[in-house]
Amino acid sequence: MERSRSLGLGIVLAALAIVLLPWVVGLSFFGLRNTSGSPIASAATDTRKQADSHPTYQGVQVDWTFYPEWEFKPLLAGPAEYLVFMFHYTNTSRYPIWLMPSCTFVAPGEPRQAANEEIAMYIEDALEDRVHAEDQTPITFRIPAGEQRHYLVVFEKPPALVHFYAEVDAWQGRCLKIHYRRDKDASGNLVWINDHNEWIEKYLGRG
Amino acid sequence: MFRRIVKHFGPEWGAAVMGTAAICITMQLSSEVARPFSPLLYIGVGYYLLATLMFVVFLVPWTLRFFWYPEEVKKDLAHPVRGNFFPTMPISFILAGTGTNKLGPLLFGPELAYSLGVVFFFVGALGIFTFGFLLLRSQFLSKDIALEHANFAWFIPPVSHLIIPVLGACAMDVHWAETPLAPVLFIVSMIAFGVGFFNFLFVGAAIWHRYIYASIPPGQLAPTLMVGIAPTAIMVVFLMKFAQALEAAQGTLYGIRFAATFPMIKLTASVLWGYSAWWLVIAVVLFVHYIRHIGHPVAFAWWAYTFPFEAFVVATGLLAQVVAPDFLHVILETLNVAVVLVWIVVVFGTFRWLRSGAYFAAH
Repeated sequence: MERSRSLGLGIVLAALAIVLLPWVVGLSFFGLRNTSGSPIASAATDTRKQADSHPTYQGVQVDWTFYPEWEFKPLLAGPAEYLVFMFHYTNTSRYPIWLMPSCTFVAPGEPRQAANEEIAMYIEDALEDRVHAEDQTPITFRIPAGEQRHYLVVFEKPPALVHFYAEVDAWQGRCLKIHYRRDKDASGNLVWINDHNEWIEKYLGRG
Repeated sequence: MFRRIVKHFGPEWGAAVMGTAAICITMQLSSEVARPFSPLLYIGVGYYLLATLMFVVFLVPWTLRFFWYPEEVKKDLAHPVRGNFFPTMPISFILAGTGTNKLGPLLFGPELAYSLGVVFFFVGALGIFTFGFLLLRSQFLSKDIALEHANFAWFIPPVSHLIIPVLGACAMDVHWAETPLAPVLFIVSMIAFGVGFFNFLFVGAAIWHRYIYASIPPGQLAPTLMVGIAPTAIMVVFLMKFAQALEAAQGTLYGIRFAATFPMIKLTASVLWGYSAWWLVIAVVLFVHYIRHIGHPVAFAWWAYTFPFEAFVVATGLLAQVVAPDFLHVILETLNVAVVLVWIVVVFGTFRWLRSGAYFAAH
């Protein structure tokens, strides 16, 4: 009877340990997480040479905040830098719209890459605090007439990057190419400059 | 003692890994709904690590049994109920890959996570296809299968094929998009989807035939009813991940354009989700019937309540990213709580079942 009772208690404790383990481990990691990225590395740049830095097409105006050196450290590995864009889409038309933006990174000598949504998920809270804007996580989201919504895009940053462009595909038949290059500013500091932006039409095909 | 454990380590233990692993994704999706839910992402990491530990621990006796007790393995393969659980271990490979793809970058960075995900994809796919052929051969050639053997556990081999393209689509997104690996992932995934989809239709008809023209299974198999929710839920998950993979490919995947296919994906996913939601109600109705009139003994089969239900929650979370977000987010958060409660009950039930000595009993 005594042995049976102690066996029963042992079983309950073992089950309890299994049940609680993910919560204990998870909450521990939550407490240890990197919340803000390195403060120096997370500085935004908004150096734009072109006058029209708020391109508008089909009633959708786009603006963005760019963090060229956002540092993210995985829980069990060393930190790495990422290119982070927070796009600000404004519906300038009279009717609500559903937006389905897509963004690609292209740099000379590097494979074209799509946005990394896993890293975006991990840094979302920290970025929202910094930009004071809420990211629209879904693939597609609604923008009421006259309102603005924000969309986070993160790219893995290749080493020794000096020039790239991001292709913002949010409109039917047209993409916005945002060109960035690394150069010295008036004070001699190396900064990222939004060199120029251009609208392009891509081959769509029928597929 | 260890040899005795290996001898009796049935094919169904992979279901426990599946039922734990999928919670990491339900937690991840729930964490994205609103800021107060953010800690759930890290709880998901906790479940991912627990599932990984279980996977590694269970893989040892599961594998050894093939070499130490091949006759026991053959008996189980030929068994009209138990044999269907063999794919649960290769499914666990796929789920390990999916969890690694989603949460691995948070733990050890994207490069290692995405590479591991692909390894899990090919190993899991090989296991699933192998067991799929073995089990169907056994079913077709057996003279001992009767109408009364049909049960929803028969869905496991088809569902196992449907889970392959889920990881395939995850792998095609971002890191492997526009690489030479993407078409390979695509072809393997499409073949697996075709196998799983049509098997789901044909096997489903056979099971419905039993449920309508013969008595429903005994109480020990009551949990297998929940498996009926899984095929269409997993198809929703695949469609949503495939949409993201097409977006990442930017038209380079055989010219398939994201913008052209996304509307049909949204519609199809909504229809499939609807079927799973409807089946959830059917499962609850029959669960109540079992409790009241037939009996619902503690059994390892209780793990059949976990993964299919979790797959439906994952489908809900992904569908909420494209349609009816306000409605589906409420369902997502509510059901995320439910899956954890079900999982807790099943964990305690499993320990109770182990304590009863049923592990070493003949089946």
